[in-house]
Amino acid sequence: MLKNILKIALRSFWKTKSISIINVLGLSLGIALCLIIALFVRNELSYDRHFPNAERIYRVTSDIVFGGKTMNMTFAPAPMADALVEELPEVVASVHFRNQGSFLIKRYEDNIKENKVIFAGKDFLEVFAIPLVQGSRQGALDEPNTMMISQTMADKFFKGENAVGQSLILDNKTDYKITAVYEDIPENSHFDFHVLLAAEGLPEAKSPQWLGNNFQTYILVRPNADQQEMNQKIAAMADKHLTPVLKQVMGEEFTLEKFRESGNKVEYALQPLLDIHLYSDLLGEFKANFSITYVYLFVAIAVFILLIACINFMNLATAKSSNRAKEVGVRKSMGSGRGDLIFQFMAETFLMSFISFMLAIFIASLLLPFFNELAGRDLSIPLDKVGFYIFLLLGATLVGLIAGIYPAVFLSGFKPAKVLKGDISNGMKSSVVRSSLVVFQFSISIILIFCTIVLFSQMNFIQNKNLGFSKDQIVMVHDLYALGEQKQTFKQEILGSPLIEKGTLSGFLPVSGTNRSDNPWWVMGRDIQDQENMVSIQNWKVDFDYVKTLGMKMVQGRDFSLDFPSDSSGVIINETAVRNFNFEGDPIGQKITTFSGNNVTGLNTEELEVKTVIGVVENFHFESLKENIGAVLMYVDPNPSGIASFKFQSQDAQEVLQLLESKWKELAPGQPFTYEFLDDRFASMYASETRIGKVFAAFTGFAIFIACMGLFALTAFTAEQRRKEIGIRKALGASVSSLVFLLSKEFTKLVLVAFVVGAPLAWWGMGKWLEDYQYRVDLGFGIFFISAALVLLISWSVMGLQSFRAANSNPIDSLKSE
Amino acid sequence: MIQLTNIDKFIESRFQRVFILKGIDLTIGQGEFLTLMGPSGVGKSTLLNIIGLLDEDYEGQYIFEDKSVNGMKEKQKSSLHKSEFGYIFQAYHLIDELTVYENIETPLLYRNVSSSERKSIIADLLDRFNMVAKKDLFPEQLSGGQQQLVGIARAIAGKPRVLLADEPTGNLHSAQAKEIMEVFKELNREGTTIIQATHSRENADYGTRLIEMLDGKIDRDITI
Repeated sequence: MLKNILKIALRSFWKTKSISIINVLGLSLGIALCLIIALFVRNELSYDRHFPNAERIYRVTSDIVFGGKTMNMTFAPAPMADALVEELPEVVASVHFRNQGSFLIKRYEDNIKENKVIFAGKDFLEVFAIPLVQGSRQGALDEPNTMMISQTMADKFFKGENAVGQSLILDNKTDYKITAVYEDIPENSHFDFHVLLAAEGLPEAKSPQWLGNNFQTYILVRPNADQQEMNQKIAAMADKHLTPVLKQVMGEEFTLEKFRESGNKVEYALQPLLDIHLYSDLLGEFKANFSITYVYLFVAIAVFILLIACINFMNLATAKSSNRAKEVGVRKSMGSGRGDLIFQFMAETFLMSFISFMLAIFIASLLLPFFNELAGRDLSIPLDKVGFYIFLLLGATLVGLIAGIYPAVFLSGFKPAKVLKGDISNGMKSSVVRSSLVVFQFSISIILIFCTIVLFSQMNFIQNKNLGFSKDQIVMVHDLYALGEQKQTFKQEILGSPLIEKGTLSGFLPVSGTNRSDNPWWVMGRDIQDQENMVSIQNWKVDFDYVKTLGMKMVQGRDFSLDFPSDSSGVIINETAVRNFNFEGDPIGQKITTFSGNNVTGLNTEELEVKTVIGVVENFHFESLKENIGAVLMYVDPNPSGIASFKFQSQDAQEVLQLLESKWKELAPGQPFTYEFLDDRFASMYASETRIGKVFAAFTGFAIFIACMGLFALTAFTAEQRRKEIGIRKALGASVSSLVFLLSKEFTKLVLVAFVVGAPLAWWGMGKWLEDYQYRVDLGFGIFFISAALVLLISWSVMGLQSFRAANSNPIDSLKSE
Repeated sequence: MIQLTNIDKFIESRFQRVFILKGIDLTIGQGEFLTLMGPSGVGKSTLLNIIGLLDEDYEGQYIFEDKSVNGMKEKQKSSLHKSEFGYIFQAYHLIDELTVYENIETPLLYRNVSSSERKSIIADLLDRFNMVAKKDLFPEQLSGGQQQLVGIARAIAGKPRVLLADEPTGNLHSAQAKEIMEVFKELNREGTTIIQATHSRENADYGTRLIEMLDGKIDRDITI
């Protein structure tokens, strides 16, 4: 029996081969895309799971509100790590990290710039029990100036040698001895550093200071330790340690209650290691995390695509029913029960489903490299895993079930007396079910198109938004410290070139990833016991040319100038800062104060630093457009380190780069030259959105393509079914255009219904997404119009082609056969 | 063996019932060769479908071998299809995707006949109808007469006791028609009950009993 069924299946497949092939290809493509998404999602969900005891590792996060500024950070105070082990019985071990950015590393002469470097506490291996390749687990980071390196690093510097016991030179000055080599930490980790330096050598790591938050702190806890309970204990512990320090700063009358009443807080909590990649987006993440929302989004897309493909399958199977009706009638007259027939049709669908899955593996392996490129991942199809095949088998069964059950029930329900008389007018005059399925498919397509358009217009909006500074034609040269005393020489010599318009040396640029520091300031003479008077503000060291080079606009007062020697005690603030300080009268000339000597190791509350406001700069965006603009204060440091930025005039950026590089090589031989264009850096702030956008667009394209494949086959089939009608109409004098209209009319209606269903849903959903952005595009009627037009255009061109062909056929061919 | 009492079949239109069959009483005995005759639309095919359990949408009583069909479950009907009835259609209704051999085999598959037995039954039938050379051809490669022979072979493969034929020669020319009727006659001689619907007087002459129908009723019942 099964043989008989398979035979019929294959032969009927072959009989309508063009449509069948479209059908199977559509399904395979759909499955291939789902497969890719499944791999992607699996990868996202696997983050950090490879660490031994991953579910018992937590990170300490901080939630600080101070002087009107909220900070949610991965940072905790330096003494936190040790205190946790001492004071919380649940904590087995702790380690803290301090990220100081990239280092220049060399063995002999030539430096390599290495980004993945971090200072780690001595108990690192007790929290993160990663496997070692060489060296001892005991005391690997106990001594200052020791380090652990990854296998990759070891291969880079000590190819074929034993790395343990050897030394590398960091930033041209410090020797670090290698104590151990560890296996590379897998790509799917939020923590994937290649060089771990002993934090023992950092003075601030020893600091007992509870006010500065500079260390990412991780703990390993006992099995079954309760997170809530630990959070409460940590809160109590932090209060205990913070109170004396704050008293010292704020005066003896200080109490935590008063502090909290005025809207401030300093709170610490635990975050499970396994939540970091998908649920965390704090200040000071080791790398850009993903978001569970996007995981859901991708799963939704996968389900949608699979449904679209399955619906194609269902629609064509039922549309083809007239071909199979006779067979159903005959079989029933021979005593086949409905169950037998359902079994037969299901078996056919399963066969197609299995074929599609095999094709899908092939298609997925072709598409995967492009996906990896778009999504910035390194996925591969796990052909060597048994689980993968079980997954495929389950998938194929599921798809067969979804795609097959309706047609099977539908087809097996034919009444033999009717169908054997040749009475199947239900061939094409679309059934309600089929129409709803088409509507469903196109609703999804419209939702996807709509979302894509909104996504891209928001990205476009960000790129073209007036930021309050000019980001174009500015090149940044990093790692100025390599120039030592020659920073100014470098700047002056570059400025001598006609290619360069302006230049500045500064620590901070209004894009992410540059150094920043926040300090509390207040208007001189106001009572600092009153928290309202404290303003938390970004302090940027800049030089005299900063405002000019970045094209910022002064709204009040003046820019820094060499003509005024007093400018060394002057500051420029932005409009937000003016608002936060709440000056009495003109802000220009006001004096503001902060504690001087304010650094990570301690607070000096004795000495005060006083500055005078000399200008107000128009607000400019220095953080993601998701945020409101915060308060900024700039003061002159004649010799700031960090980054040199040059505004160039030339169209030829290549020429500018050559100039910079040759000058760099001259002044800092052997040091790597690293540069970046400011607009690229700006774009990278939205890299994950842009990336998601592109992937989303690609999947949308495919989803629509698959839906159109279905529409194509369905119109082809309608045209085929209505051949006789078309022939008669033509014989009676119908024009080609009226026939094309006739054939497209029905589906056009469905597409329009789909629009009415899908567009409002998409509009609502994207409205929610945009709420994340403080600065965003309007969802006007234009988007509705464009997405409707796009869908109609695509579906018409697909249907029109088929209809035109059918309408142009010779009427006699279709009539005489009857 | 077949007893129909007061069979009505009608279509409910908006204001009235249009009767296709009205008050049919008919008893058919084992071994009869019965012909239903009458003009188009008189209800021959409908009656045949009702007898063959292909149409359940009627009123009245139908008793097959002392058992009432009216209350039968799908499963019982299905088993009657398998063991008691064979159908022959005007348009042959062979399954296009199957070869001659496979078409004849299909009813046997539903009867769970063993593979070796199937082979011998089909070989006999092919032999009987001189179709051995054509067993691997598809229906579209055969002439109408040959297709109908395959249709008959398929209908009788399961050795049904009742053979139902709806205009079996309607699409054939006279020589082919004659050949088919000869086959019927022989099957009847072997004991198969045959009920055919036809327009053709000549075909009726092969039978043992003639029912003439008019406007959904039995007009005359003649034994030949």
